[in-house]
Amino acid sequence: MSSTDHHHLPPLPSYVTPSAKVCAVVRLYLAVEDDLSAAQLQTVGAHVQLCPDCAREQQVFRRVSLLVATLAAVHLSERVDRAVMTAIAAREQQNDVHAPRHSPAALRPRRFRWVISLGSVAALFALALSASLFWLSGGFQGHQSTTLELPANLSWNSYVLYHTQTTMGSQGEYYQVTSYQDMADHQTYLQIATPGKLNVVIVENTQKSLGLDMMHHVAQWNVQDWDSNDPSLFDLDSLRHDLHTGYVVYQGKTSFEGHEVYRIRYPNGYILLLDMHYMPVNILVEHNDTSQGKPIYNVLRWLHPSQVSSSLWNMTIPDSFTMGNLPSKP
Amino acid sequence: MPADKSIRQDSISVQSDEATLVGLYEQFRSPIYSYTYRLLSSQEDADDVTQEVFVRAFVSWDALYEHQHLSAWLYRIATNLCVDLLRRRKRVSWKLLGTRLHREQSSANVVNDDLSAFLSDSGGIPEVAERELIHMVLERLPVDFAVVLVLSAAQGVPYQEIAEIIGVSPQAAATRISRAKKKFVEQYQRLSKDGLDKRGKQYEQH
Repeated sequence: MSSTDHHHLPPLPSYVTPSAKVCAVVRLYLAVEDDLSAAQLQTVGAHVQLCPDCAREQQVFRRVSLLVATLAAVHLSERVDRAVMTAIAAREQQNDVHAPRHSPAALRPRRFRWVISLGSVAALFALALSASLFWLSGGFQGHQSTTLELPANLSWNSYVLYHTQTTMGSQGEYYQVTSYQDMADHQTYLQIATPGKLNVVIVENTQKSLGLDMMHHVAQWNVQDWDSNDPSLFDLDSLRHDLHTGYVVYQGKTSFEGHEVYRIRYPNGYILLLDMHYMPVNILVEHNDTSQGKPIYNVLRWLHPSQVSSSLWNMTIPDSFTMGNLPSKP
Repeated sequence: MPADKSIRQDSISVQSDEATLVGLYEQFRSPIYSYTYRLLSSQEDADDVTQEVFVRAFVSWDALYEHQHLSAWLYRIATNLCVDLLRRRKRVSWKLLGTRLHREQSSANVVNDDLSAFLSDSGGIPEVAERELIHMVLERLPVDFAVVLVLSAAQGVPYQEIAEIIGVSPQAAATRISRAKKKFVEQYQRLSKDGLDKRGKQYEQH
């Protein structure tokens, strides 16, 4: 590691005689002794020879490193190897129309409820599939505008709506939005992430919202700027009203990802797709490249509340977080 | 036991996507797995997190601009997942906190400047028991400290890369490593004293 740049640490004093200031700097270097260059080790070593306290600190740090380094490394299970290789293969099959719509359940970590991950892998080829299957199925058969009567006993409230979306920020950066929406209690958990750059979690209920910058451990209350881009078409009462008043137009049945769906067009160009049980399956946005529109969500699922950890809605600020401002929304 | 930190960029740039990702997995599966296992002390959890790390990496691969910093990127994903899991675990066990606090307060006075036992080779503790003790010490450290300590001491990741992984300046990373090491000593002394006390009591009962 001698080639690495150490200018970020305070400069090592050129004199080695112990003093509170010199010792403080030297001890910082001692904490990362394995990463020091030969020249730095020489300077630190010269000080340590003259300073019993720093010599003691060096011994303690070395002993800690030794102890932690003795932690055994165990072997990764074959289950993980298989699952990862399958995920890579699935990624490569994005353009294979015969590939399964969803990742096999066996790929998922057994005890985690992180539906995000492999659902997202499925989403990668779901995007490609949605277009392919649409063409294979003959595409949208033309607007067959009739009326759509939603059953009186229909309710979406006993579910948690989960969806993921890949979208582009104002600077052209792609970011991933993952959302859980408790339809009964009107709570939302939203994660906005760009790998290595941004990881913000917003937890929101009817009273307040909490934003957590997971990379820098900063928390902020009431973060209106970070509200979801969700076009909020998942409000059943509004949909009933809009269908009744003609504000939205029912365009008939069509096929989406191999399944029959009802198609409802909003004045802003969004098209809400409902399955044959009147549950939303995605929202399309009109797009020049496709006659039927592009799906907004990579994955959209209706989950039973027992499938979602209640900790998602927890609005306690973790101990290690400090209050401050979230980064700007991309 | 430092991990291999070199990144085979030459091979990455000329291979097909599938071969690149297989190569990425082959190169980083062991370091990422050993890291997650060392932090989580559970093979099952480490399996799950490792799988999740790579699946997330593959999902984001096309949008990744910084292919030069793969090691830091993967460690960062792994760190975020481990930290979430560790915090969830701590929330679950909050009821035990009162008892533990009481126990720790009662033994707090054993943490003193006498480091001779700590600095002795194994302190008379058998190797397996010592590893268990180290796991226990790490579990009791604040998660942020455990992360940098494992990255630095067990994984051999330089502090500059740790800074990148945890999103702080290199100086802040070095400071955190320093504090983590000191905290480790405190907890180690406390727990080994508790263990010795228990053994002593068992001996007296016989």
